[in-house]
Amino acid sequence: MSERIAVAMSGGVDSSVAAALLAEAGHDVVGVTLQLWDYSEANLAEGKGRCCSPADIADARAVAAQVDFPHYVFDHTEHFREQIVEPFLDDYTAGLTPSPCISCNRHVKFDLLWRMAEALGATRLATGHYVRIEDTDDRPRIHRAVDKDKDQSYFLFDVPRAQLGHVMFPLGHLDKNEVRDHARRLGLTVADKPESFELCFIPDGDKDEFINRERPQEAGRPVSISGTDGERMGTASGLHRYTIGQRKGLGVSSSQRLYVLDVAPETDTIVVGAEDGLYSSSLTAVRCNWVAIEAPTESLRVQAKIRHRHTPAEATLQPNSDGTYDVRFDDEQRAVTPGQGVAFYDHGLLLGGGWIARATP
Amino acid sequence: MAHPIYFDYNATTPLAPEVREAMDPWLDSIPTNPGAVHSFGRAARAAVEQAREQVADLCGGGDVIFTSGGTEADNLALSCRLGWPPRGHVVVSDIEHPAVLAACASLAALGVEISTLSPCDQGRVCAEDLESAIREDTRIVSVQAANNETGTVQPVAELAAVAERHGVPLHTDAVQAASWFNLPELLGGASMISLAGHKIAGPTGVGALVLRTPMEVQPTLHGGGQQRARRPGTEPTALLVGFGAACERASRERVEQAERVGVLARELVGMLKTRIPEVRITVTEADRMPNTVHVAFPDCPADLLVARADLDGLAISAGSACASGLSHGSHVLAALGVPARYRDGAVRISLGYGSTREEVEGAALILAASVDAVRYATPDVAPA
Repeated sequence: MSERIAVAMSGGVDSSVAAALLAEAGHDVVGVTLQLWDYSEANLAEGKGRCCSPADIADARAVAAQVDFPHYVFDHTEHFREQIVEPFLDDYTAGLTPSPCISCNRHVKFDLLWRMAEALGATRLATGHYVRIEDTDDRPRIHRAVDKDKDQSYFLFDVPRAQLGHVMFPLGHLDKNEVRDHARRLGLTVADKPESFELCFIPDGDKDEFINRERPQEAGRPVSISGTDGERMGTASGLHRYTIGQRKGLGVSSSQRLYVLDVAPETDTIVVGAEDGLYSSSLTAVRCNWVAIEAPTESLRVQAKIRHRHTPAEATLQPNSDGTYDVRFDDEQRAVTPGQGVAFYDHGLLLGGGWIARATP
Repeated sequence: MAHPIYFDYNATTPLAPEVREAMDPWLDSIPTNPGAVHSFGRAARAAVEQAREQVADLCGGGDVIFTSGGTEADNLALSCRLGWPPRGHVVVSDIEHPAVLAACASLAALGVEISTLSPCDQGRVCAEDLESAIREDTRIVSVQAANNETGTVQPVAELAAVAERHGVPLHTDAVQAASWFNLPELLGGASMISLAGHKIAGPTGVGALVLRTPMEVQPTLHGGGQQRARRPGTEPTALLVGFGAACERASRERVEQAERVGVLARELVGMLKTRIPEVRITVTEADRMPNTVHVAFPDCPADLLVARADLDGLAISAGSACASGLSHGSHVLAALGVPARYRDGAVRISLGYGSTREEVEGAALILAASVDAVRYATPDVAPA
C-alpha cells in the first residue's frame, strides 16, 4: 500500500479539495480535524465559515465520507487556549499586535497535529495552504503559491525546518478558482462554502469585545492619547483597542487626520499623529526562524513582508550579535507593527522570518 | 486488511438475520398504517400488537409505549410525571447516559429541581444515598441498569425497593442490560424501563418505555391519538415488528450468549494483561455486563487510540460515541476513581452475538500495537 498521508482538514473548501485530490490520486489518505475552540458560548448566528466549528467539523466528515477515506476529530481546545489564545491575549496586554495564525502553524498544525498523524501511521502531512514546497537536497524549500493573491507562505515562516520535511501542499500550484472547480467536479458539498477571514476563535470578528470578555481588567485599563510632542489629547480605556496605523475610534478631534503611531504599554500611552509619522526605515526582528537557509551571519539582500497583506519590500538584513536582525528597508514602510511577523524572501522563496520587536523611524 | 473487527456492540448491534426476516414482509410495497380501519390497517395492527407483547414479555410484563428509541424513552420517562409546566424534584445518578442527563438539564432550566447521586461503591449507586436524596416532592428516580461506557451494572432492584417505600416510581434505562440479563430479576420493582431496538440486534429508530406499574403518563409529543395519545405518530409497523422479534430473540438467546460472550471477554482481558504493560481494567467482572471490557492505558489519548485501532481494523469506542463524532473525557471514569494518568486513555471494548475467538485474538494484537503507536503522541502525555 502507498504511504499514508494525513490531511489537516478544517471543513473549508481548500483543505477538503487537498484531501480529495490526494485520495483521487490513489494515496492512503486519513483526514484529521482538530477541534480547537469551544463555540458553545460564541455567537454562532452565522454558523459556517469558521475554522472547526461544529458545522465545519460536520462538513469535513461529510467530505471524507463522500470521497471515502477515514476521518477523525480530536479535541485540543485546552492546548489551543494555552498555546495560542493566552499568548494572544498577553501580547495585546503588552501593547503588541499578535499574529496567532503563525503561532498556530508552528505549535498546532505542524507540531501537535503532525505528532497525531504519526501516531496514526502517516509518513506525510498535507494541508490546504496555498504554498509550494520542493524537496531539494535535504532542505525543504517553500515558494509562494501560484495564486499570488492567496499565497500563505508568510504564515509558515516560523515553522521549524524539521517539521517541514514531510509536508505536502497539494494546492500550491492551483488558484482559488481551480480549487473550487475541483470541488465542484468532485461533487464536494463544500464547493461553494464562503471563505473565512476572521480568527477561528473570534468568529464574530470583534477582537476588542473578545479581549474585554477574556481579560475584563483590560477593558477598563486607562490609557492616554497624546501627540508626538507629548501633549495629552485625551483619555480612553483598553490598550488593546489600539494598533499602529489605526485611524478609526481614536476619540480625539483634530484638524488633520490622525493615526496611531505608537502603543506604549509601559506608560499606557497611545501616540497619535499625522500619516507621515507612520513610516519606518527599519525594524528589529527577534526569535527568527530559518527555513531555506542557515541563519545569516552577514548582511543579506531580501524582500521583507511585514504583514499578510503587504507586498514584500526590498531590504537589507543585518545580523546583530545577540541573534536578532535589523531589517533596513530601501523605501520606508508604512505601519511597521511590533508583535507582527516579518517574513524574508528571495523573490518567491521563503528564507525565514522573525517577530517585529520595534520599528525605527 | 482483513475484515474489520467490530467490538462496539454497546454503540449499536448488527441486525440479527431472524429479525430482518420478521421485518421483511412489512417492508414490501404494502400500506402499513396500524391505525387504519380497513383490512390493511387491521393486518398491521395485529403485527404491532404482537410486537407489543414481545417487548412486554422481555420486561416480565407491562404497558408498552413505543418510541423512536432509547433517547425518547428516557426523555418521556423523566418528564411524564412532572406536569406542565414541569415541577417537582427528580433524583438521578451522575453517571447516566446523556439522554438522561441532558433531559434533566433541560428540565432544570424549566424549574425542576434535580439531585444527582454519585456512585459510592465500585461505580455503583448506594441505596443509602438514594434514601437520603428522596424528598417529599420527589416525582421520579432514574438510575440506569448498566452503564454504556464501563458496563457497570447498578443494583436497580435494591434502589427500586427504596423508591417504592417512598412511593416514588423508579425509571431505569436498560437499553444495554437487555441483551444480557433477566430484566425482571435485575430490575425488581422498577416502574419504568427504557429499551432500544438497535442495542439488542433489532433495528435503529425504535424503542420503548415500558410501564411496569399502571400510571398516568403525560406525553411530550402531541398529535393524533396513537398509543392512547401518550405517544402519537403513526406506528412504524416494520420497525416495531423488528423490535418485537429482537426482544423475543433476546429472551431466547440471552443466557447462552451471556455465557459465550462472557468467556470471550474474559479471554480478551487476559490477553490484554499479557500484552500491554500497565493496562488497567477499570471494572471487575463481577460488577459489569459480560460483554463489556472497559480498559485504560496510561499516557495514551483514547481518541487517538480509537482512530489508530480503526485504521488497523478494530472498531472500538472512547467514551460514549456521540453524534458529533467528538470524544469527550469520561465523567464515569472519574467516578470510578481511575488515576489521572489513565483518564485520557480509557476505551470501551464491547463484544456481542457475532463475536468470535479469532476476533478476540486479532483485537488484542491490534490494540497492543495501537497503544504502542499512540503513547506519548500529544503534549499532555509527553514523557516526564
